[in-house]
Amino acid sequence: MPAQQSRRKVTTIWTRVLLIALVPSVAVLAVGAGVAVYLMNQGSKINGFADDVWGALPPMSAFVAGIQEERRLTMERATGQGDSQVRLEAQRRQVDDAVPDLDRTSEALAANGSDDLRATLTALTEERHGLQNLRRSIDGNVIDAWKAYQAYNDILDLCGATIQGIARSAADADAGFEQMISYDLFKSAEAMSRSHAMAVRAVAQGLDGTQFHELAHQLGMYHEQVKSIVPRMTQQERDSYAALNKTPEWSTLVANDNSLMNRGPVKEAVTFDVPTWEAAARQVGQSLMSLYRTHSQYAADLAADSAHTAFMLSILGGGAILLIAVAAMAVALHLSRKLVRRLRTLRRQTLDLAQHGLPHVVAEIREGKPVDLERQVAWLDHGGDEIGQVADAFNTASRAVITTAVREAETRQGVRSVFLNIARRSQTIVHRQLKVLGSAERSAEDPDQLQLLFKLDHLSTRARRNAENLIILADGQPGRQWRNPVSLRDIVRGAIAETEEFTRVVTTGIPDVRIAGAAVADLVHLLAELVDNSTEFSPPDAKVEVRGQTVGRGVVLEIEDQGHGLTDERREALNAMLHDAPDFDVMAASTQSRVGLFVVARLAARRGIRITLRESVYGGIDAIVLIPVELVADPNSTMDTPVPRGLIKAPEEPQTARHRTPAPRTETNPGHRTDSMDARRERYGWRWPKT
Amino acid sequence: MKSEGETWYDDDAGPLVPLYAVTGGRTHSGPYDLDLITLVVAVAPDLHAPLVSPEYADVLWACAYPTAVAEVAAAANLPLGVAKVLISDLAERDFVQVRSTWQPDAPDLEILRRVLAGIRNL
Repeated sequence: MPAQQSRRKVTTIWTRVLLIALVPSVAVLAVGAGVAVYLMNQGSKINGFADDVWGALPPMSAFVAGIQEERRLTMERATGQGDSQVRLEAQRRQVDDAVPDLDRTSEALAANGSDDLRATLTALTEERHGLQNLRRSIDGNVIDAWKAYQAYNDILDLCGATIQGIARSAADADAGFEQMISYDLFKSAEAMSRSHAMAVRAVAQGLDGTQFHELAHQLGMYHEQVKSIVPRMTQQERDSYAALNKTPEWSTLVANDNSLMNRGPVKEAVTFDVPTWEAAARQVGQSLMSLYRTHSQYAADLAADSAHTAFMLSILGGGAILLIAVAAMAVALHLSRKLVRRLRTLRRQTLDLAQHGLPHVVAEIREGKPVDLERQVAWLDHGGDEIGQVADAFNTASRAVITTAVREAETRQGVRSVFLNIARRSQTIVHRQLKVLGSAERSAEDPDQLQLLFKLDHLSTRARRNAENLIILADGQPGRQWRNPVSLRDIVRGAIAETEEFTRVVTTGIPDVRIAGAAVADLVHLLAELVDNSTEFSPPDAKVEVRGQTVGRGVVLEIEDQGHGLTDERREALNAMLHDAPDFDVMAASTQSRVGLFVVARLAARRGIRITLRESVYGGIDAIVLIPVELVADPNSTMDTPVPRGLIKAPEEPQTARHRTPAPRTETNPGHRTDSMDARRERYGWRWPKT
Repeated sequence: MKSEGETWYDDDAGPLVPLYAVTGGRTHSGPYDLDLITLVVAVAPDLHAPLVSPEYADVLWACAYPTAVAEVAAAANLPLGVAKVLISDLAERDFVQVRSTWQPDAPDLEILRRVLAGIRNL
C-alpha cells in the first residue's frame, strides 16, 4: 500500500536520529537568536536614548535660559523701567528661535523615553505653544506681572520635570544619579533666577506679603540647595563654585539680597547700587546655569558611554549565544551523522551476510565442500558498544546457522553412505543372480522352463534397476559401466527391457548412433524411468511408442503414450522439476510416482540432457529427450544403410528396428552376435542363396 | 561420492539387452515343429539382415546354407529355445525356409524293419 510505504519512508533511522538531534538544536538556536536580538535591541534602544538625551540637553538649557531672561524682563517691564520693552522684544525672538531645536530633540526623546517622560514632554510642548497667548495676555494687561511670573514658573517647572524624567529613565544607575544632581543644580539656578525676578520687582515697587514670602523662599532655597549639592559635584564644578563664591559679584549679590530681606515687604529706596547689583545677579545666575549645564553634560556623557558599552556588550553577548547555538547544532548533526553512518554500515553488512554470504557458505557446506569460516565469511566487527553487540549477536546467530548446516550435511552424508552401502550390496547380489539366470537360460531346453527363467530374469533386472536408482539418488555411480561407445538402439532396447511392461513398447526410427560409454548407464536409467512412467499411466493394452531422430544439437528421442495425460499445471510443475533437479530432501517428501522423475531429473542434470513433457496428439504425454551432441560418439559416422524400396516391411516384433547397420564392434569374441556383418559374411562364406 | 562397491565394465556388465527381451518373453516356436536337426536356410540374408534386429540378423547369417537348428543356435550364440523362437519368427515372414526331416512320404516302419533285418543278415 502507498500510504504505508510513504510512512515507512519518513521513519527511516536517519530521519529519526536527525529529528532527535535537530529538535533541541533548533530550539537552542531559536532561543539564542531571540536572546541575541533582544539584547541587541535593548542595547540599541539605550544607546539611542542616551544619544537623544545628549542631543536634547543643549537646546533645553538654551530654552530654559531664554525663558528665565524673558521672565525677568517681563517683571522689569512691569516696573516701567528704561528700555526694558525693547530688550523684552529681543528676548522673545531669541526664545522663539530656540524653540525648533527643542521641538526636534524633544520628539526624538519622547520616541525612546518612558511613558512619564513622554507625558511631561507633551505637557511642556503644550505650554510652549501657549507661550504666544501668554505674551499677548501680558501685553494686553489681561494678567498682571505676578500671574505672568507664575505662568513662566509653570513652564520652567515642566523643564525641571523633564530633566527629572530623563534622570529616572536612565538605564544606568550612575548616569541617573548624576542626572538627579544636575536636576538639583537646575533647581537652584532656577530658584536664584526666580528670586532675582522677584527682587527686581521688590527694588522697583515693593512686594506684598505673599510676594515677599516667595522672594524669601527662593533666596533661601537656592543658597541651601547649592550648598547641599557641593559634595556631589565633580572636582571641576566644585572648583568653579569655590571660585564663584570668591567673586565680588557673589559678595555683592549676597549682601544686597540680605539687605532686601532685612528691609521687608515695603517700598523704600534701596541702599545699594542697583545696576551693579543687576550685573552681579546676572553673572551669578549665568554661573549657576553653567554649573547645571556642565553637570548635565557630564551626566549625559556618562549615560552615553555606559549605553555604548552596554550596546557593545549586548552585540557581543548575542553573537556569542548565536555562535554557541550554531556550534551545538553542528556538533549534534555531526554526532548523529556518525551514528547513522555506523548503523547504515551495520545494516548493509548484515544484509550482505544474510543475503549472500551465509547462503553461499551454507550451499557450499551442503555440497560437501570444505569451508574456512574465518576467511570465507565476512564477520561483522563494529566495536564493543551496543551497535557492536548487535553485530556480535548476528555473528552468533550466523555461526549457529552454519553449525546447523554442517551437522545437517554430516547427517545427510551419513544417511547417504549407509543406504549407498546397502544399495551396492543388493546390486552385487542381483548381478550374480542375473549371471546364474543367464547360464540357466542357456541350458534350458523346455520352453515352459525357459518361460519361468525369463520371468525370473525380468524380475531380477527390475530389482537391479531399483538398486541402481538408490545409488543414483545417493549421488553414487552404479556398478555397471561402459568404457566403449554403445549403440543407441541397444541402449533403447535395454532400457525398455528393464521396464515392467516392456512388451507394450514399440520403437521406430532410432538413429544409428553410438553413445559415449560414460553416459550409457545413466541414459539407460533415464529412458527406463520415462518408459516405465508412460506404461504405468496409460491403459494396460495401449502401446507406448519410442521414436528417434538426429537433430542439429544431438539426438532426440520421443516417448509417447496414449494415457490420460496431465493437467497443464502439473505438467509445467514436472517440467520445472526436470529442468532444475531439486535437492534430495525435497524429493523425499514427495510420493513414489515422482521418485522416478526425480531420478530422471538428476541424471539429466548430470549429463546435460534436456527433457520436456508435452501433450501428445493421442491425449497422453510425449516426453522429449534431447541427448546433446557431446554425448554422441563419433557423430560423423551416423549414416543409415540405404535400403531398396519395396523390400521394407515393418517387422511385427516390438523390439525390431526397421533397418540397421551394425556399427563396428571392438569385442574380440569372434562368435559374439555383435560382430560386424562383414565379419559374419567371412565366417559363413556367404553367397547368394538359391531360392 | 567415491564408488566403493564392485564395478563391472562393458562385457562384464552383462548383456545390455536381456534374452527375454530378444523374444519379447516368448519361448514357444509357434506352428513350426522345430527340433535339433530341423534344417533351416536363410532367404537372401544380405537383403533381409538389415531389416531385422541384430539377433535375427545373426540367425540369418548362421543359416546362410541349410543348417540344423542346433548349429544355428550355437553359431548365433543363442540358447536353443531362443533360437527356435527367432527362427519361427523369420520363417513366418519367409526370411528363412524350414525343412523338416520328417517327410510325409517317408518309407513306412515295415520297410525300415526289413532294411534292418537285411543289414543284420549281412
